[in-house]
Amino acid sequence: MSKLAEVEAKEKVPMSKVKKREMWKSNLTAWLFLFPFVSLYLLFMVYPIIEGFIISLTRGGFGMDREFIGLSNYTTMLSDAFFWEALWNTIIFVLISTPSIVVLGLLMALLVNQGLKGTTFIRAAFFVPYMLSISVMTSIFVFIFQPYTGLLNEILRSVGLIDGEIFWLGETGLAWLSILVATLWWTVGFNMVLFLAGLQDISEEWYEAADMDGANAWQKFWHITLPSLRGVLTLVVILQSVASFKLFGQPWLMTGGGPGTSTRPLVQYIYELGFRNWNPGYASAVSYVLFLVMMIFAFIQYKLLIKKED
Amino acid sequence: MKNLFLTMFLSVMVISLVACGGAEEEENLSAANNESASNVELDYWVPFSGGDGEFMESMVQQFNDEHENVNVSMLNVEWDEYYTKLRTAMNSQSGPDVAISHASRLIELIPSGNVEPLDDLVEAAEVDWSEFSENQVNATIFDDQHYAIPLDAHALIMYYNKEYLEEAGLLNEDGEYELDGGMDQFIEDLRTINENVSDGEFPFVSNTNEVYPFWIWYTLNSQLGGTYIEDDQAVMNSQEGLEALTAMEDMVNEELWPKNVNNAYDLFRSGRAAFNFAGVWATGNYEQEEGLEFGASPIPQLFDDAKTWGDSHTLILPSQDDEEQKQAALMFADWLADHGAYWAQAGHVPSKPSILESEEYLELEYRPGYAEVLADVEYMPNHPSLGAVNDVMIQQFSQVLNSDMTPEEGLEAAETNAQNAIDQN
Repeated sequence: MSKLAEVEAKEKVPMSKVKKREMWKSNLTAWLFLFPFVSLYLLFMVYPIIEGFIISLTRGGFGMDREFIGLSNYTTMLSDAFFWEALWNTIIFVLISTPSIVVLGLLMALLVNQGLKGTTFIRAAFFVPYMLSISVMTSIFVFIFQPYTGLLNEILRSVGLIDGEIFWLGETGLAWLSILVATLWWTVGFNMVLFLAGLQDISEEWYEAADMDGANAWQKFWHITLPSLRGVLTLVVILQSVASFKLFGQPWLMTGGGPGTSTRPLVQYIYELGFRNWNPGYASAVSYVLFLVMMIFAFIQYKLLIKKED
Repeated sequence: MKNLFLTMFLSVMVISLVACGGAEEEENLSAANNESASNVELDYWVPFSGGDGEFMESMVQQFNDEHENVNVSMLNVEWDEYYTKLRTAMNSQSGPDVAISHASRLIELIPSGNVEPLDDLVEAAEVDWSEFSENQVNATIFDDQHYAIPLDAHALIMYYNKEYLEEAGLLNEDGEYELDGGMDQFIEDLRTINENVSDGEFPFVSNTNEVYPFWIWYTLNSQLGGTYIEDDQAVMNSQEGLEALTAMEDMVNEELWPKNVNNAYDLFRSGRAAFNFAGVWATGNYEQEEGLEFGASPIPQLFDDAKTWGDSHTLILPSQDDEEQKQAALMFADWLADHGAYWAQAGHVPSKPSILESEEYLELEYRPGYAEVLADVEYMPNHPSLGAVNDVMIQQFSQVLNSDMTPEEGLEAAETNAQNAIDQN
């Protein structure tokens, strides 16, 4: 507050010519530093966003004449069963994966934060999967889950739990479970690190004071740890749901969106519309809907979580 | 003042960027000039992921050895992703110099204006259309222009492992399998085999995901006289289409055909299956397995007509400016067609009739018979949305075969969504 007031006060004082020149110089320096970023940002973010919207109002393949058709792509979507299925798949995945990953990440962070023996190793072990590329990660899980030669079925058979095949990647429910497990294993380490940073920011004194008042471990967690983590929690929940909305690689590489289209998320549908069906107009329109849904989700989460903090 | 500085700074940046680009371009140009005197580099893309890639690889090798001034480098792309990659690259002018396209896909590729018409080039490259099978050439003509060099034709056929069939007493005196009695008898034979096989061995395999269920359904549907696309209407949801899909689902439900199979080539090759429907191109792949005694025949007449799915490979020249590159690419394409007898080792049927009569071709096992299979091929309708419609079939059929969707639901959804795909384009 006080700093801001100072700056404001300064600005009101009429500036000498020398000062003006100094201001100007620092402005120029700032622009010079900003120039590379701003120009790339305009070229690769702002321009495509605008162009994408314009394309969503047209029809015609890449490189062919585009015909303006107004909002017709958007109305087509209303009666497109594949669109609703993909949207539903995506939302369900967000609703299930986000809490699972956030809770598990928090639990792992609490565990690592205990300072037990071997913590360094556990912390590293939790984080390493995050460093794998998606193709490596999915290859590992395909190897585990695939039928006839997969590791998991082999193990289950050898201990006598099953007798035959379980199609982990071939039945809708199980395929989603497999995708969820793979995603959890892959990304939870990153959330753990964020929570861990938050945990280490909490002052020890509060716990000591709570100890003196005779608070038990659960009370300490509920009244000290969790409220102190609210900022990190907001960040993690929003980052994670945005990441879950963008789900594509895991189903694409593990199930191909199958069986049939039952594990196909919206991003995969957009990709297929644009680059397989050669229909960039409709693909852009669906992208815009996804963008809108994500905005709404992020906004609601932000409002809910920030309100609590006040 | 401020704006002036900014403008000056920007101008300096822009000028230096342009200058750099210019310098680089010049260097590239001179490098190209030096090389072109002795060497043309051709990028060549193919979708041969079904075991036939190796044969094409050796052909490219041989071509490079024979031609000092042309060097072809081949990129083999997974079938499923091939057209995505090719079309995107062609559209951004970064495509290969010569590429494979299925005859059925030409109608999608040509309207984008990124495929080179060949008529002005053929004379210099000494291509003679009369050397090719006439109907294959006709399939490459759009708006009275030739757009592609036919390389081969191929079809879906039946392979069988003689060991299993011998054991089940299904081979005749010549050691061949002959089906008499249509689908019912075929199912009966599969059951007979099923009684004898152990765990991990199957009476019948083909992938139940990806494109195979579609090809098999298309074959059965054609045998029944069913329809697919007519004008701009998706018309696969018919009595015939349903019967074909139901027959397939029955095989899976009775566990004569295992679910969720993605590696049918490997399963058949390693002797774990009695029957396999696969493209002719799997022949070379299966022959490489020592100890595998197999027979290959047309898909038997399971229903009313002896029909099968098929297509043909052609070579196209994605647009480019360099005349010399174009000439070299066309010469390479024609050379490949001329060496069809070698390509036939993979299993495909060469596009030049003179090769079909050559000693070299007739000496090959199985292949001479494949040329006759082509007469039974029911080609897919020529429609710009064919790829998108086929994708819909692939997705729905995999759900019917591997999941809990009924053939009725699957085919109805397939037709609705196929119609959407047609209307969207």
